[in-house]
Amino acid sequence: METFFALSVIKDVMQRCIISTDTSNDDVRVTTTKENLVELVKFMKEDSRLNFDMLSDLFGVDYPKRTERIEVIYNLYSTKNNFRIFVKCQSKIDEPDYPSLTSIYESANWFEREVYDLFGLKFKGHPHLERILNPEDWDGHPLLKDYPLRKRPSVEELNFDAPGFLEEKDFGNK
Amino acid sequence: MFEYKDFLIDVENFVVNIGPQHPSTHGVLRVIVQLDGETVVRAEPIIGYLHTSMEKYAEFRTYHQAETITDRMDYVSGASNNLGYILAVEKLCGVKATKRAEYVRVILAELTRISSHLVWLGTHAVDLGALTEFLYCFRERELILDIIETLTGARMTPSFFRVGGLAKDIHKDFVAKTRDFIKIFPEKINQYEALLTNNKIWFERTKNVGIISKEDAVDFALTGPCLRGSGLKYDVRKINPYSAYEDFDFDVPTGDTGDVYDRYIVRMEEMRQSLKIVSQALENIPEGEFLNYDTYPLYVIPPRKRALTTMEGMISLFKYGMEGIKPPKGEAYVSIENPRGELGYYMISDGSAFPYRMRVRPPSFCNVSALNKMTKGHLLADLVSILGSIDILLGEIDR
Repeated sequence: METFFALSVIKDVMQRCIISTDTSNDDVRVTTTKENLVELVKFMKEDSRLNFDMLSDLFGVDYPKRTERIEVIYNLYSTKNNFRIFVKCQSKIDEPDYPSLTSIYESANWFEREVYDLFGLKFKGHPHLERILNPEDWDGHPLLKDYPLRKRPSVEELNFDAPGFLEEKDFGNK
Repeated sequence: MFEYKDFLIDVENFVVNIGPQHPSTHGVLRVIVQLDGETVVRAEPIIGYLHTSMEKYAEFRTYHQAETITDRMDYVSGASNNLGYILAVEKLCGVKATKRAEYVRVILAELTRISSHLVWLGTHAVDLGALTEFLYCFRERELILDIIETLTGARMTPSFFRVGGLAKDIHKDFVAKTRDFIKIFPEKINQYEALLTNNKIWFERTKNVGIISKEDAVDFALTGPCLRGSGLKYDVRKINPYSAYEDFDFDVPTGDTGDVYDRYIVRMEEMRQSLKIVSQALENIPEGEFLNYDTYPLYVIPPRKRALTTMEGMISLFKYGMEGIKPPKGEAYVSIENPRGELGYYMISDGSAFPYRMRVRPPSFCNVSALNKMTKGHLLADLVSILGSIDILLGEIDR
């Protein structure tokens, strides 16, 4: 398969950035650390043999038993050479230094907002890190494994005395 | 009292809110537009009004129950979404469908592509003031929905595919109806084009509007007609053929400037090519089983007849219903060509009957993120034209 050529190039040049590789199910997955992530992705985009010019997808997976429980998977694709490599990177939820790829790929902008919304991982250097699918005042991050499927606050949990709880809200349309 | 100057507004920095309930946003998209006079300075799409957390729901369903979630994401091209999901689960299990099933899958996926493009064409033309087009498009779409209903029992959400094949075999009625459709449809496409393609008003509204260059399109991860309109010949069906697409002969139309008109031409040509694929597949459907139960009895549902006449089949059906299938531990990614672009499914299995994680790579999500880039410097009225040409579907963007 063509992608294995890309993998061999990455292994030759960027061996120090790679923790492990996995080629099961005909997909190529490369695991790296958050310190080396930007360097590795930049190399993959700029090297003339590889030319990964499209960040096709970016998403998170939650493994609650691990210490670094969020695994972010980058789906990188080269439109010129038809290579597809998944770069994986693990992180804690409250990691302060997790790098953003918005300076390298434009499409990372919305995808990283989605990961922040659904998993709570904050990307350092993102220009506009806000919730994208859930409302801004949403509580919690739904795709974490410890977030229940159906969550409704019980009457005890509701704080009726909180300021503005039952007041009519001003949406600026008066 | 009010002075005259109180009624003057700041025209250079005027913010208009469009949506979420607005007919030309094709759903519940909200766009905040900053205007300078009538020129768009910045257009920020706000999504999430239809968010139902389907990726979370899939983690609490068995593999076949989760299939019904996928066609509710992109509800005008349901069969296409099912196909991507089932291919991903099959890759996880190491199952391959029979040739007959693959051909029927292709027929359904391509019919769905035509019907989805018809919805797009109708609504896009209405947005720009051509009301007649809408009625014609929905007339033919009805025929396609009838065909899908004859075979699957549902019009928009078929959920007809199973791991290793199909839920049922095809029958005479389906073949006859599809043949009729193939016969009449080429003439209809010419009718649509006669109304729009060389129309001067259509030209004015679409030519050189919403241009996005090839490099920008790749950077924003646009796929489908939006990317092909910019001139890059990227079609998953050709580049990484799945589900017997390598057997068929078809072209991938591309544009060159990447404006609204190019995307329109690409989609019109795609309908013709899809019809070509359908007719090739329909005439060459191989004989044989529609479910690959004999080769992969562990993962494939037994055909009804086998289940009711043999003991093993009965046990297998019972286990299938009670426990579901349990793919081995692992991860698999499959991407297919949806009417809107590249639809990817990344499935992670932990060896249980429920998916550990189902990630959908939604094509419209990326496409709409480039809205700001496309609309900058155009008139507000062109925003509607550009939004229509991206062909967004909010059910899929928000999931």
